Amino acid sequence: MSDKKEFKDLLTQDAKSGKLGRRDFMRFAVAAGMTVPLASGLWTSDVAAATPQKGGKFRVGVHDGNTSDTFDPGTYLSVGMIQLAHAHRSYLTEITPENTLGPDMADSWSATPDAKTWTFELNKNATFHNGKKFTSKDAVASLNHHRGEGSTSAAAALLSTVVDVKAKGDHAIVIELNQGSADLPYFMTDYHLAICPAKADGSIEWDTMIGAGPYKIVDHKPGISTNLVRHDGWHRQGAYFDELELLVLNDPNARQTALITDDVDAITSVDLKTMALMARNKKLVVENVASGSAITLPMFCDVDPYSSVDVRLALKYAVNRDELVEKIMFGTATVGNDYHVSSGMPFAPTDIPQRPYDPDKAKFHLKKAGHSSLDVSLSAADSILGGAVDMCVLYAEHAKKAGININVVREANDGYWSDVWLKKPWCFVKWGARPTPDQMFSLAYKDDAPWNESHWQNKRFNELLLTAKAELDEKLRAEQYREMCQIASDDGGTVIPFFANFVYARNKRVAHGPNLAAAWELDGGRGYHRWWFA
Amino acid sequence: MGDIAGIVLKRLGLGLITLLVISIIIFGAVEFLPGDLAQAVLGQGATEENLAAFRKQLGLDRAAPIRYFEWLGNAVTGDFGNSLVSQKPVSEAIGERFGNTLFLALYAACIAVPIAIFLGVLVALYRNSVFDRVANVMTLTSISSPEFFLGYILILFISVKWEMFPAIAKIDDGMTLMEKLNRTFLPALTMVLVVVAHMMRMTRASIINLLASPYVEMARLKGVPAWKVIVKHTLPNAWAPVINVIAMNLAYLITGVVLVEVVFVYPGIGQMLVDSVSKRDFPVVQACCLIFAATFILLNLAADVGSILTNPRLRHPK
Amino acid sequence: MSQDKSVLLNIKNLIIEGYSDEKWVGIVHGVDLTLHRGEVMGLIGESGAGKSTIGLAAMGFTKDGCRIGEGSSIEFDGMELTTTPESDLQSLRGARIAYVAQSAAASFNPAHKLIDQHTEAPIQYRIKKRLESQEDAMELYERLRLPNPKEIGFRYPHQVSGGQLQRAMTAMAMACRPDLIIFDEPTTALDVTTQIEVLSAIRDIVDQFDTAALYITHDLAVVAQMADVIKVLLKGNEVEEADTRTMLENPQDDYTKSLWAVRDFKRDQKPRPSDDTALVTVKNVDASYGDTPVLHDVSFDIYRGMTVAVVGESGSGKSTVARCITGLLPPTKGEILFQGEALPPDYRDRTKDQLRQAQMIYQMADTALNPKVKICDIIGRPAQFYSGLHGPALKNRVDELLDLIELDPSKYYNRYPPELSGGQKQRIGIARSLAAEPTFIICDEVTSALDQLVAEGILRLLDKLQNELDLSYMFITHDLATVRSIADEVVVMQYGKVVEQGPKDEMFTPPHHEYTDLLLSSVPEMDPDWLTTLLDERGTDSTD
Repeated sequence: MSDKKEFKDLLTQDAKSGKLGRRDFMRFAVAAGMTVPLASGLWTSDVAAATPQKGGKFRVGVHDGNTSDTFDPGTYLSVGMIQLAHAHRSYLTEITPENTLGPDMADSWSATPDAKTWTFELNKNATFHNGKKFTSKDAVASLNHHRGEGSTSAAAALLSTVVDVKAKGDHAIVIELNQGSADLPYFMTDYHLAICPAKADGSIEWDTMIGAGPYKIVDHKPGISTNLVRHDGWHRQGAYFDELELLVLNDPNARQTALITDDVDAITSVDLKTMALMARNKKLVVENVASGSAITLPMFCDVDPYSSVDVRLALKYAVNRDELVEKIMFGTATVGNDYHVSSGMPFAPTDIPQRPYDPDKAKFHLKKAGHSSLDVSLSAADSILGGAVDMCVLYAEHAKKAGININVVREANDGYWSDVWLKKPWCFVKWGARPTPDQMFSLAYKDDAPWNESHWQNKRFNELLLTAKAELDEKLRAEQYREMCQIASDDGGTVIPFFANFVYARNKRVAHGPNLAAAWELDGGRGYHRWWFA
Repeated sequence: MGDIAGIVLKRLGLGLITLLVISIIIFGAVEFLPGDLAQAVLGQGATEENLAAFRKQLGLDRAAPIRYFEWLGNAVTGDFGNSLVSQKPVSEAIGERFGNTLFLALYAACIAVPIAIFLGVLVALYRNSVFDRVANVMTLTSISSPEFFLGYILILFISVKWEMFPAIAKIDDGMTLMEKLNRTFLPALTMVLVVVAHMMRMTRASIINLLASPYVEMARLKGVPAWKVIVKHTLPNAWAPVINVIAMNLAYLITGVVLVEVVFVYPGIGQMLVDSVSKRDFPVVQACCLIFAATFILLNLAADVGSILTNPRLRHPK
Repeated sequence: MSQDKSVLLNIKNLIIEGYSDEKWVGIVHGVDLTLHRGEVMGLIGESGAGKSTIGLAAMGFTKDGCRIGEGSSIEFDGMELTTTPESDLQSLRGARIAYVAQSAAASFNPAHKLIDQHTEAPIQYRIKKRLESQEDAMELYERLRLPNPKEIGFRYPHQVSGGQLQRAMTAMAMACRPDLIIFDEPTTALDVTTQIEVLSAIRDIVDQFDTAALYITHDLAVVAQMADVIKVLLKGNEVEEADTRTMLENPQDDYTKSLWAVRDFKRDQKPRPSDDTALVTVKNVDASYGDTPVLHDVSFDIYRGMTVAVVGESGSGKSTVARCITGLLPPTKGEILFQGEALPPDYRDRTKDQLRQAQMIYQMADTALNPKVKICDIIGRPAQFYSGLHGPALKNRVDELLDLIELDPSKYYNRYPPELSGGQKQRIGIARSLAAEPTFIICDEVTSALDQLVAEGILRLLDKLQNELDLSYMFITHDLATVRSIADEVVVMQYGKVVEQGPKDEMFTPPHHEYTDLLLSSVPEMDPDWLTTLLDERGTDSTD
């Protein structure tokens, strides 16, 4: 491959993923020696695909579908249900393909200056699949489903600061918080907070599978397949496909085969080991999208030897992140810098220098902490991430050069979350993406958070967290998050080697816009209404 | 023939006791698994309060023996309860999938049993020939390959390269029988490859075993052709061990094919059992396991009755 | 009778080799044989003489692992069988040469009805249609005097008795009206009374259809009734051949003479000791297997140093009595006394000493000895168990026992059963029972699996041991010749009852109980006219 060709591919790639606008694309292309017409042609043929058109049945092979999946939004857990939820239900807000916040069932939102009281103006045209008009009553019930005594919702923690949700007329709701939160509109994209029709008693009707999403369910077999047709009363643009079929294909090989043999049009979660082979198939496109899903290795900061910040730093310097990304993730990951904010999140800092692999520096910190060598155990299980144990073993190899002996403990796949996580002083964790830094930090880094997985207590960090939470001035807020990231990186108890990318694939027939949202696979789970058959 | 009815009744009675013991073991095993239903359903994201509320809602906060006997009491009256996760009746959740499993097992058996016996007779006829050795090596290879590997190989060649049969064995009620057979051909073939060797080798062995018997020599001295010696004079006396192996393999086809289901995305009961165990959904686990146990008990019984019926001494008493 | 006496089977220089221990070993070493149409030739010899092998070779057939050697010629009706392709041989078998095997019970396929097996060959070779063939079968059954000839063919083999099966098999051999039938010990497994029926049936039908036959047997008296010509074989070689009368009256070869002499061994009858209690007393014993009664009020005594022969046909209950005495089958009524004292009915309740006193020797020495255990251990174990011997004392005892049974200790001490001949194995069985130092030994058909010369050796050995060790024997047998040679007293059993008992000499002189009479008169004698005379006496309807 010539340099020129490589550059052209790179450019096209960047343009497709939205990093480059048309003007920049043209400028770079011409600078790289391409003629203007050639560059322009490239833009139209490859980058800006044809305008969306309606029609067809979009068949998707989805992983992590189970016979025990339910439609209670409070117990949504599997990838299969999260994907389905975005196809047949709607949320108040959405993450756009550009990874910004956009409207869905709420048209607009505003807050009081202390960010404690939020008003969401609701879409007046939205209807449920059974023809019922969407009103503020439905929105209130849907949010209250996750709140209050006896709620079994996994999103209860997310809404723990919510004091009250009430209707304001038929087409607005007011949410009151006991502390300011500038991120509340982002929270509304959480996959649990799907809008369901309200019953008379204020609870929601979830078991009928009726939603207000772009497609309505015709037939659902748990753990097998779901068939959907377009919801004609949907309140938004899009929903180009006439029909959807979500097929549960838990086996990576089965998914891949189904795509190759044209039994499905797109699949989630491509097996990394065979990704390169698939990419060679001319009919298929493999999408490799940076995500907010972090791999974290939290150390208990109140347990020796991790109580020493130098030990923590030594371990952070002792890992060769590039090699992990390359060898374990086959390049489908983005190197982390020990703060839990990915590049796709709002307020992601761009000027914190990347921590390198530096055994000497690790040794230096180890010595400073009073150790000549170090023996530590790191727990992992392959059920958390395929290759997790391998990754830890590779890390152990890196650390050896710094005089650190990491004993990798392979834990049982079953029961990892109850027996290892939050119990073992150093273990392997994979986090799903959260939309904002505040949400992530509040969940797992705040001093009193139940999931403060590293038992990390940092006064400045926690002060900043509170301040930034209610700060409505974006610029100021960005600066505050930058500082918090720096603190987490230098003082925090969590090694974050990388953020895993979403790797999914589609047939070339299936077209999408220039960008792909980083929230979930398949364009944030919204490929169903954003994509089309070219 | 009255004896057979007696044997059947006795064995069915013992079978029921076996099922009871199995249900206790399964309940205990599910209880001893780390984590519980609430944790499994709500996942990593659940708080303690969530979990407590969830357990209370499902009655999981009560003592284990109470829950077991409650289940048992209902089960005796034919009510196997609701799935704890989906709240749907277990019979509804399992019924269709068990039907699918039986369909696939029957499909595979219909191919495998005749092929196995035909090949078994053939290799017995041409024993120690090149044909015998080739058949031996091939069946041993297929028997010792893990079924998912066989499945992948079949997918690679038959589905991806030659595009003859679909790789995804997704079936639904709207399909005609032919469509279903076409869709499920590859998983059936995989299972055939796994089980044929057993049955074939047992057929071969029990035929060869009988070739030294005086009545076979007599048949040869009567001028009966070699193939007829095997088909008419040895095969009818070789059934008992063959039937047992067939029953064992049928049981395997019903209970042991989770990997095949996964590879071909076939909605059978095995996948359901795995899901339910990981979710600690006790009533579903229990129902699946009892179905499996009953399958074994019934097939073993069928094999014994079959062995008796193929024995002329017992079929035609003096 | 046909006048055509041309040569039907002409075997020249027949060599047959078997494959064992990775080399070809000769079994038959150049035997010649000529058989004319309608002629019956008796092939006689001990086991290993190659009689059956020659019989099969006459059909162009060898057992698996055997082959016909270079230079052999088997000419059947002008056809050279050694060079005929297998498919042609196949159509010869059954159709023109038929075979009647020793055990009809094992040689009929248990899965098919008799008549279906009968008609298989005729239908296969399109000689007859099914119905035609079935009718023919019924006619043959009738000729062979089988009961219910119209119906018996539709039974399965296990539903028919052994004698009837043997006749059905002869009928089957006749199905295609072959030119030649090979009879391979067709009556050896039968009781004497049944044997007569089968023999006469075979003789009649061979006469009627003028079929040539090779009659293979080890029993001289039997062959004397059946054959026109007798050929004596020894270890795969021909000893001599002559017509039956000449052979019986004037055997030439020493080996033939020794065969003829076997029946000469006869021991004098010993009287009961006058003032002694019986060693073993069977007193009013009833026994049953499950719900089926097998013994009814059986009583007899065995005195010290004496041999009591228990005779009867199979199913008469002889072996069951032995099981009652050894305690394997506790009687339902009555008791077993040992030196006047009642023994516990179940062997598990008996003392070691009581167990030691009564030992058993079995019919099948092959199956009674573990092939993986050395001779010294087979004999040494009971010696150790009952006498507590070990070390050099044990070895001395084993040597002594081997001396007693006339096997050289230095040669046999470390060998395994499969290396021994049948007679040697039976001797080991005897030594094993002697190791316990018993006073009483039950001999269950100990000679019936052996060739006559070997059997005689065993009988002589048992007699010698009785004299040296003052043993008492209970001899279970169906062979009256054995009784004649060794018994002091005889117990005759039928249907689980004792029909007659008394001293041997009395029992062999009339008047008899009618069953004893039937038994005695059914023992073939070395007179070619014996069968004819006997049948004339009895009248021909006595079969079945």
